[in-house]
Amino acid sequence: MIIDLHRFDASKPLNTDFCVVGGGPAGITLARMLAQSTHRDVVLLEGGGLDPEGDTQALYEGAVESDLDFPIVDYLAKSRIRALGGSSFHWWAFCRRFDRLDFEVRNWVPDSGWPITLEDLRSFYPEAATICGIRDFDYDPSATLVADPLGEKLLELPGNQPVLFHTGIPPVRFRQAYQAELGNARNIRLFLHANVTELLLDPSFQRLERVRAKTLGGKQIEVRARNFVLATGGIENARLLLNSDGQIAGGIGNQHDRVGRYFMEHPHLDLGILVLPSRGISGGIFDYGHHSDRLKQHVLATLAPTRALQERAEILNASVQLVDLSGFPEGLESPLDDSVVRLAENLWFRRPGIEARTEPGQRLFLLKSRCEQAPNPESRVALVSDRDALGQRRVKLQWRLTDLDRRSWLRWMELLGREVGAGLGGRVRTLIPSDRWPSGIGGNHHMGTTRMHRDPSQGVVDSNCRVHGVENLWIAGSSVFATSGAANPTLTLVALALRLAAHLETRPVDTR
Amino acid sequence: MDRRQFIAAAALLTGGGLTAALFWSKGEGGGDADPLAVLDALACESGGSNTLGDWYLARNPEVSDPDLLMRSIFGNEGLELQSPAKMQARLRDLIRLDYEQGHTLQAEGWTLSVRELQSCALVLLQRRNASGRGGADT
Repeated sequence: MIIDLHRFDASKPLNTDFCVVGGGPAGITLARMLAQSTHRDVVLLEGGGLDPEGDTQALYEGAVESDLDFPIVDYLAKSRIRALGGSSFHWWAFCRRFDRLDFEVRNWVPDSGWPITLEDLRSFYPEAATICGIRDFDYDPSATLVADPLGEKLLELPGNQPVLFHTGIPPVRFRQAYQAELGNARNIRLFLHANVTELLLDPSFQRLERVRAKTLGGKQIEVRARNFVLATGGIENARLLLNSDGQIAGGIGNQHDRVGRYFMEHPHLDLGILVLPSRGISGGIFDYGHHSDRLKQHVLATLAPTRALQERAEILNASVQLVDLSGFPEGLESPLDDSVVRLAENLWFRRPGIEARTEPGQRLFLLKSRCEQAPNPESRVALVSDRDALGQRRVKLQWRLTDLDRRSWLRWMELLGREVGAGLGGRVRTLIPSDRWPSGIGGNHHMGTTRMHRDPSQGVVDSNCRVHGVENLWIAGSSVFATSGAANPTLTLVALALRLAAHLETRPVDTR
Repeated sequence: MDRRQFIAAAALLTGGGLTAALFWSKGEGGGDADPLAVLDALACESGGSNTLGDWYLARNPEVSDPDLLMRSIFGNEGLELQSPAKMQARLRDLIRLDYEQGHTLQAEGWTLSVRELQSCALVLLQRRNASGRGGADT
């Protein structure tokens, strides 16, 4: 059942088994799974409507400080969508599993290591892929890429490997995909325009008793539940906990000042340029939307440092898309015809008047990255005194990078340059300045602000995503990520939501 | 083989291939690269090897002598190479070896073989000498 809170008689509190706050990919997945598997009652509270609305979206506005030369205006309001389906409204469905190393403690990465491993998520990835509208496969570059049906040869380098992202064309929009199921489910009550503004603990302060939700028109409802899950996104999850400070100073789950800290994005940077001789190198598969008949899936191939290289060089994970600057897709007219010819003539070891070894069509690629960001407690979501239309304190995002981030970018480009020089006769130049932060953007990936850690003094949720110190409050979404990896977060956050649903299914009907 | 023949061989290896360095050393730094600008710059004849030669010599003034650079690049075997083609082939192998062994430097953002940079420096010195002496250099 779908209910618009604007038109609901909210005079009495609602009671339910499971209250899920937030109707994005994580919240929708949880609500569907809990309703299907437990047959118990689920209330799903979504702050927006069926489509994005300006006044609702304005609730997200806030201030941003970034180390990067960051050109995005209104990042907080534009990088996410407050409507049923959440940010799947504007995603491109780039999906890839996290690497095994992403979960492990790396002694060169402070605060690295999850309390779970890739194995704990492995069984959930296939269903997560189905939910995200892609075909899942257990990535094996030697099996799946080298023998690509187009016969395209990818870069073969010892310390760097081709890595595939699946892409959904068109991407799955969670609202369109799951609205009917949510509406038809007998044990789901989906409330639209129900903006949760307050989390209220019982007198013990160890259980969440109810949440309060409001419309922008002033209508209000309270929901009491045995189990609560926050799934409002990587910034709002922290904001909601911090704003719920009426009973506990600093907010719920924040007894060790961890809520909002460790904010991570995936810095999207122009890391370098790569010049290659043309022999046997194809740029086609590096293009967005390349269709692999073998995988029956649109894919985007990238280049990434191997685990061994990350360990040896003590660098963070990353991947780069190779944007071919020296060729244009068939059917597109190139304005550079003459220039490309001259490039081929001049670029590769040739001088006028000297008969030189030259080969036509040397390739030039821009290396556009998705970089892992090092966990950093000073990178954070904090509240400011300015309030939104619902009276909630707004957010100031301080997106802070570390020397490890910069060192990783520079070191990887240096080592890639060595491998390309030795194995392919090419050259690499970094575009990262050594004396300042580069210009760059994020991927609209908000992670880490309620990070997972066994130790309550080091994290906000435990290995089951339960908020430390609150026995019936869980968090879903990328805010629980302890590290960010270099893969887009949605596939993994949906897998985590499935794992959380499986965990919650085992909860007794009444734990009190 | 004399030094002039070597210069021709080295220029063959270093001159055109590194023109990109000049563009990227002009202060564009990081940030979004403009593909058109990149291509235009690369397609132009420019003194990329001069820039890199300058870069190397500025940091290694003690080897600002063609003979020293020759020895540094080839050891004693340089004089035994009988033709520009053989020298070119040998230099190519040595440069590849530099990359394999991590014998590289970061010059103007490029990851480059030390011998590659030394070759650029040698070409630059040759050009300077030729300019200063009216072009003759043997």
